[in-house]
Amino acid sequence: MLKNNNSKTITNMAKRSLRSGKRRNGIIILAIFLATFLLLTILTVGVTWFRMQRTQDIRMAGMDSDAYVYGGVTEKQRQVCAGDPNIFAAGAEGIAGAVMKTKFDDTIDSALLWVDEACWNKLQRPGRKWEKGRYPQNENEIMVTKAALKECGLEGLGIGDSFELTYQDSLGEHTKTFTISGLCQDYQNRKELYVSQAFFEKSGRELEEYGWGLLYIKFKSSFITDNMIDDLRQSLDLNKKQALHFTGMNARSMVRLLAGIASLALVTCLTAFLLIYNIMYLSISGNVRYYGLLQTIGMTEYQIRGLVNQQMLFMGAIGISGGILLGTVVSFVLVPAVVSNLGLHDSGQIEIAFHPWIFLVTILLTAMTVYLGSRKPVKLAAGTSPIAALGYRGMASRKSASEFQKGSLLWRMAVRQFGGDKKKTAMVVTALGVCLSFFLCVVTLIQSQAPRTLLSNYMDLDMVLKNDTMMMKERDEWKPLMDAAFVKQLRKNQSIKDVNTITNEQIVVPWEPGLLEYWMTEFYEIYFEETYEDVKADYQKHPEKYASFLIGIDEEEFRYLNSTLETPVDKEDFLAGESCIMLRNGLWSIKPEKIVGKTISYYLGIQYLENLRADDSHSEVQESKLKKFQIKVAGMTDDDDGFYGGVQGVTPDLIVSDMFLKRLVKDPYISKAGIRYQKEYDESAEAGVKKMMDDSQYSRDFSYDSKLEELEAVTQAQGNMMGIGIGIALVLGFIGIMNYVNASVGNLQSRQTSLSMMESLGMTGRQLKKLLVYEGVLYALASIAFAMTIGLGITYYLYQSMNDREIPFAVPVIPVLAVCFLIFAACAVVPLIAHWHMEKKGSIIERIREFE
Amino acid sequence: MGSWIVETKALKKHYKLGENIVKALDGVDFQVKEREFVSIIGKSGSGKSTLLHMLGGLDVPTSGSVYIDGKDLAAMTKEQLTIFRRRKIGFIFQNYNLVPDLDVYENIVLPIELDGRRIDRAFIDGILELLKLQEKIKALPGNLSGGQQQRVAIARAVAAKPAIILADEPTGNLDTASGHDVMGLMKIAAKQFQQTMVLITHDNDIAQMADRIVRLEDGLLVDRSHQKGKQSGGESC
Repeated sequence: MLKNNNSKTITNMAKRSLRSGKRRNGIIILAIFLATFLLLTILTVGVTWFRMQRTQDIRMAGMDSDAYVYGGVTEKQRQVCAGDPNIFAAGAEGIAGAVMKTKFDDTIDSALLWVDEACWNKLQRPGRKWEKGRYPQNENEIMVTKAALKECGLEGLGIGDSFELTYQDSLGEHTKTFTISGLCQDYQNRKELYVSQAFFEKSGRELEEYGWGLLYIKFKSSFITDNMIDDLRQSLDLNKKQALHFTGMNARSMVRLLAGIASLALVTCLTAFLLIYNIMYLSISGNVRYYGLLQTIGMTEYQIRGLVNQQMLFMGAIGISGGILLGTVVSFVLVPAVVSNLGLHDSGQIEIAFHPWIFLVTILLTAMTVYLGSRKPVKLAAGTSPIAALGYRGMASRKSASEFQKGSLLWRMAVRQFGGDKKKTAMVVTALGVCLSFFLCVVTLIQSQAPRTLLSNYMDLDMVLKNDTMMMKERDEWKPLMDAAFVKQLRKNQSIKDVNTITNEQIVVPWEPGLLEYWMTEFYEIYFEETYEDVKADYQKHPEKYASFLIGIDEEEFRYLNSTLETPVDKEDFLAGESCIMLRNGLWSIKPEKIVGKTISYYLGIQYLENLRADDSHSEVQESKLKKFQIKVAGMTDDDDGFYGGVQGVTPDLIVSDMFLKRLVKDPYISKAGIRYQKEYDESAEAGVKKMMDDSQYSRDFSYDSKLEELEAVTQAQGNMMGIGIGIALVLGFIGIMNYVNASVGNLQSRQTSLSMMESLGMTGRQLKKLLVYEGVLYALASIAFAMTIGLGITYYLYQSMNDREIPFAVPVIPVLAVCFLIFAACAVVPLIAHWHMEKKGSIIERIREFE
Repeated sequence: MGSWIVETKALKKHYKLGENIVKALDGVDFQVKEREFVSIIGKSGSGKSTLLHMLGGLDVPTSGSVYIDGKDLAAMTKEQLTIFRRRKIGFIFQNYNLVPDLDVYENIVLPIELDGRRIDRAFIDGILELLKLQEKIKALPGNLSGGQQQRVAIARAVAAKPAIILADEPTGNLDTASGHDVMGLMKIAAKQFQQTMVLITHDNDIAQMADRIVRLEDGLLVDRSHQKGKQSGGESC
């Protein structure tokens, strides 16, 4: 048989059908348009969001690095890194000295740092907010952060100004005039002072010495395997004092993260697919009678397929083009605008660029979705016999009757309707459930990244005041910044809930075999260059040079500390001063089982030193004249938050009950005061505390950690991440609701006759509305159940995949409840509105007749 | 109004079709006595179905009034009208209008359940027996023949014990034998349950089974009542 050339006729019919069915086709085009736009936007915004997550990490670390070598770094190791093809950059940092004082402040807690060119330009630059001037080149030049200037009491100085600084390096204490060659600031407001290489070389310190040199490493690839890390460790040939710490994301984490991103993309595509599929299916199945008519007048199955496919092609082309156009505007205009508001560096590292693959994926996905979405309806139109098509109602009936159910008629009918067409119900529930799950996932991830979640510090204190004079070597230089009157005044402040103080007293631990010898052996391995015998002999002769501290804590503090220990200690013994908890002081090689349960001896430092002065001619203390104390070590703490640290000694620091400490020493020095406000992040409470410090005669000797200030810094580091995340959630919520609206309207249209029939049989308007609301509630319940099972499971997996900071998993209850409420409201209201529109079409009989 | 259970006064239904005004009903005065069986006949498009729908409150007249059991339908709210309809009127449609998702039993008891009344199981069983539907109570409408579906529609119409049955071409989709069977059943049911019945048909044989026959043409009652035999029929204008 010769083939008829009827393609022109089919094309004309397809074009004409576009014009004639404007309303129906308009909805399909709108669906394709929106799906394309949303997919493109979500992909672009999603990629940006993940980039911004990386930006946040860099800003919080102040540096873009994956690993660092601690404990000194040799020239050979630097060269190894420089020659490693896997390494993008390896930058060294040397601690040239400790800042002691300026004319305006004599308790400065800052270091003089030198960083090499790679570290400054390649690693630190992305973590820097701004930078003026240049890095120091001459020995007397210095580059300072604004926060460091403030710490030094030199707020008003700028580039070219000079100031005098007293610092200590390995050669002793010096006072020198520096000229500011540059100013900068990172996102964490660190107090840093950078010096030149010439200065560092004259400080008597070497990069390879323990404590003075670090090497930061950034790999070329973001996909860092265990093998790469092992190879690096081997090639560096680390000595016992050195350690390689990995801070980046390894391959396993990366795979988990990529799986997470892929899941998110899949969910997004699925959402869009469901939307298009539902609209196509409902639209075409609503026109099956029309296609039946075409068959009746002689159109073949093949021609009907061709006709529908061409219609889809036209509508797909229009919808996709429009969606791409709008998506492009959003991608190229709005997203860069949002990102530029973040103040990202123009380093070429982070910028919104053209993403051809995003466009390609969007077009392919939408085209595939249009094809898949129309395949079944096309089959339906082409495969139904003309007579069956003319009788098609677009409403699936149950194939068999079920057992008569008990209960309210309307609930029974709603359940029947809900379960009647399981496939369609599954589609709608999946679409809504997926969107709700996505929302759940996004808000949970956002919440975990929220500044307040990230800032859960030690005992959740709002402010920690520190006595900087306690860092002075000589006890005589300590000042009673926070005496009983000061603490009393703090406690009187109505905005302050409670104040916990840390008291300190110096102790001298005599050389003894057992516990102390074990401790010193480990300590020696890391910190000393001399021979062990020399150190031991010196210690035995002058134990006061190796002094440490008793750290007094109150009962509340003890309760908290005890709860963090693997094996809690006996409270009564601790409070009575019979036992103590030892600080690890960063000696990770120490084995607690070799320490815990043993007894340690000590002399009170004040008595020891007085005795030393009184007996100066001997240069050695006659220990028999002093009272020797002994205490049992009941536990050991790593002090991860560094709350007890800052005054560490060489020998072990011992945490004891402050009541016990007060029995030993009258009015021990308070080194820290932890403050909790009545209302978290209370600015006025904080202002009150700051005023107290300013009013103190020792105002320059205070320093503090403020949760409020950290919050501001983290919020700034995060930029607009939260806004973009919420934007994604809203866009998806919109798709989900649109999907439901579409499905609901289609469902009601197909049931128009059935509902009108029931009205004719006596179903009142109120009963009908109740029925529709019940059906909506069932959809809402099923969608929420979907989200709370599958959605929650996926959320938990994704959360843990990205949970590098080990923040406890918690679902933000209020936004999730609010969205559940919105889903309920939408599911109940949408069918009512659709029915209200349907009712306006005419009387009951007119509505029944519309079908007939 | 006297003893009329159904009465219309100057009932009109006009609607626009393109640029033309179609006068489906153009001033119909029509009455039916209690327990009377009236057939309305007429050509296609004569306004038979429109009149029936007006009587049942399923459509709104352009002008004129409809009284059922002495009550003016126009004076009722939509809610009141629906409740009134489900208690007073049983409809039998030409296309049966069974709810496809409900089985035979559920379709039959639907108006009773909607009214919140207790189902009189013995009464329903009697109807099922009379209409020979006992074996089909679990079947869905889609699995029944046309005659069976029409019998379900009849059962549903009488199950709520309405005072009036309005039947629109109940035998229109049935063959002659089935049509006569269904009519016989309807008549028996109406007699047994003391119901008034208004039937629309274009089949003269079926119409002859009624107590009285009225004819509609172009929206007007053109024929005086065709009084039949023993029972005295109602008047028509």
